Amino acid sequence: MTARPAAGALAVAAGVTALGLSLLAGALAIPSEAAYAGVGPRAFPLLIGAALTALGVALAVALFRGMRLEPEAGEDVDAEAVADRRAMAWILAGLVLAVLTIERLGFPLAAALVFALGARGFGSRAWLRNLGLGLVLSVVTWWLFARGLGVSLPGGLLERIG
Amino acid sequence: MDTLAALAHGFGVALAPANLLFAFLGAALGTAVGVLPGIGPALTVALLLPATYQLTPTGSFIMFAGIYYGAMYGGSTTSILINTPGESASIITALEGNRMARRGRGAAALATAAIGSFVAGTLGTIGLTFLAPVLVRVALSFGPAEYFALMVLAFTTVSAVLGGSRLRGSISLFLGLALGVIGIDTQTGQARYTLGIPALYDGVGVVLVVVGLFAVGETLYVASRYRAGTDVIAIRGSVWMTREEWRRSWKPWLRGTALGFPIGALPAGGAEIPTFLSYLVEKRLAEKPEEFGRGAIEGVAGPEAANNAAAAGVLAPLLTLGLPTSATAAILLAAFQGYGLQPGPLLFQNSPDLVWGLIASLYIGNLMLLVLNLPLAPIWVRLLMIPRPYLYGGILVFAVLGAYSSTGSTADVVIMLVIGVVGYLMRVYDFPVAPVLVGMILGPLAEQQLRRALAISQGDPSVFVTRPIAAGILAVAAAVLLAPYLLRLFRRPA
Repeated sequence: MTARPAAGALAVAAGVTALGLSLLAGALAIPSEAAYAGVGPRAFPLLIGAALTALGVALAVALFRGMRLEPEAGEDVDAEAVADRRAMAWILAGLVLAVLTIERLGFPLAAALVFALGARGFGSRAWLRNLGLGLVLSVVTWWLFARGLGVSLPGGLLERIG
Repeated sequence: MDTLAALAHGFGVALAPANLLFAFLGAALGTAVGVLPGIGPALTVALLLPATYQLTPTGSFIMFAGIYYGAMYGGSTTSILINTPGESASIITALEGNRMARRGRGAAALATAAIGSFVAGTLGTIGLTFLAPVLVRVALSFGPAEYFALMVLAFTTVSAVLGGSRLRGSISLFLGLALGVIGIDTQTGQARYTLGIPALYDGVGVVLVVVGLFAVGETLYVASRYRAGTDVIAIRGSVWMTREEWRRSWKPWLRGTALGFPIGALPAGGAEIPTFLSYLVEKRLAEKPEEFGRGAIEGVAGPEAANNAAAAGVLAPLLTLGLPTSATAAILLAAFQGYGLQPGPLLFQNSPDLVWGLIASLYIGNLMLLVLNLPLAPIWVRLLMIPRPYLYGGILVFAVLGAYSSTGSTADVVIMLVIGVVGYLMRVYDFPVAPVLVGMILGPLAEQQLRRALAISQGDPSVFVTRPIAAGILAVAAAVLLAPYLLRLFRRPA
């Protein structure tokens, strides 16, 4: 009557179940010195873990009964398309680079990298122009937020200049 | 009379030059960011959070009021002109509004949305002004058991009502509850799920979750299925509506408001249901129902009004009970907590300047937005023309800014990245996002109230059944959760 559920959707159900089980295991590790009147720091986590485990199993059952998990279409996106992993990799690479560089090089340079790699994820290959645009954007935001509003953002080289 | 005096006092606060400036900045920034495709009100508020870190609480909430309403106005512009609803409540606007724009009546669609939003926002704010003191009086009689019951009701409605599937909504909710548990337990000092990572001791910041889910997750999703060449429809025709269009708009505005405010103000709340109901009502009452689906102005006027009235309504349970019923409200609650303030009846007693200043500035912000949006619409439209690589590059830059500056640590950028990947998966497999936020913010409060209620009753769980209000609310929550199954049971024999 129903086709086999997609592997990805089943993996999600498995992931939810696994998360629930690991939350349960983690909850048991919370020392519960039976606080006043029964409910200690452990009860709520146990409940959440149990619920997620049950919901994960329920999702798997629903999938086998024919539930489909499909994204809604939007204007910029083609929901039918096969996911473009390379585009995602560019964006993730930019964010990882930011994590690695923000404290050493400062926000403006790290953010310019995020911008250029993010733009590459959307198919723009004009590296120099994108880096330049990113730098303009990030220097202006850094100046506004760090200097103007006093938000803590490492400036890198800029801190020495101005 | 008390209410009017309090409101007058609030206007005194809101009309101070500095606060007027904050309201204006909030309205302008909220519109500008809200117009950007793919950025809904929740993300707008979260991205602009760093801009308010250095302000006084009153100043920053006045700015939030502007951002909150501004993002709603901006979002409808985007829906109408490029059919990219930034949040579920604008999907309906996109339905008819985008068709109107394609038929060359985009300007009229924008105008009826803006004026409708103004009418509904103002009436909704009036409703909020007079409802809030009543709710405060009721709330003062609530004990922990009643609060816990209300929160359970919010959980069930948010997960059962938002999105298409109860099962997926519930999974999202519990995911949020799990995120909320992370950190040091406030009552016993026990670390929970911190994995020994110091950055997790204070819990996962709400900004990280919002920015991760909405900005990073959404960017990854759009990039993975990117289809270049979205056409922005140029606005043609006069910005002013014709007499005929006025005639067809004013009743839907009022009906939308009448649906939006009460439903938004319920602890169940949300803006999705009233906008959808308003659409159905207008479709049924329309003189020319055949126009629906091809760009009927009533289908823009009604839902837009309902959406904005609901946005005002949502503030009632948020301010008086501390109960957020939408993603945006959850972020506002987190912003209050960031200042060490807990919305609820006591906030009205302890910080009248802040609360009434905030409410008064909603009136002012709404008026500013009407002025900002009607004549300036062509300027906002230019923001839609930003090439997508730059738009999403910029969103990522602001995501990093928001994540890093929330506590000034790289670990938070890593957490945002991880949550972003989860957000991508949720998008691909169609899990609703709002329950995550509501669960995450409301979960710790619900746990606190549960433990308090049981401490008072000395561990006897029957308090939830013997106290009539708590029992009643819990019964409604159970009904919301089980309604479809019960209906199915009754229908089966027939």
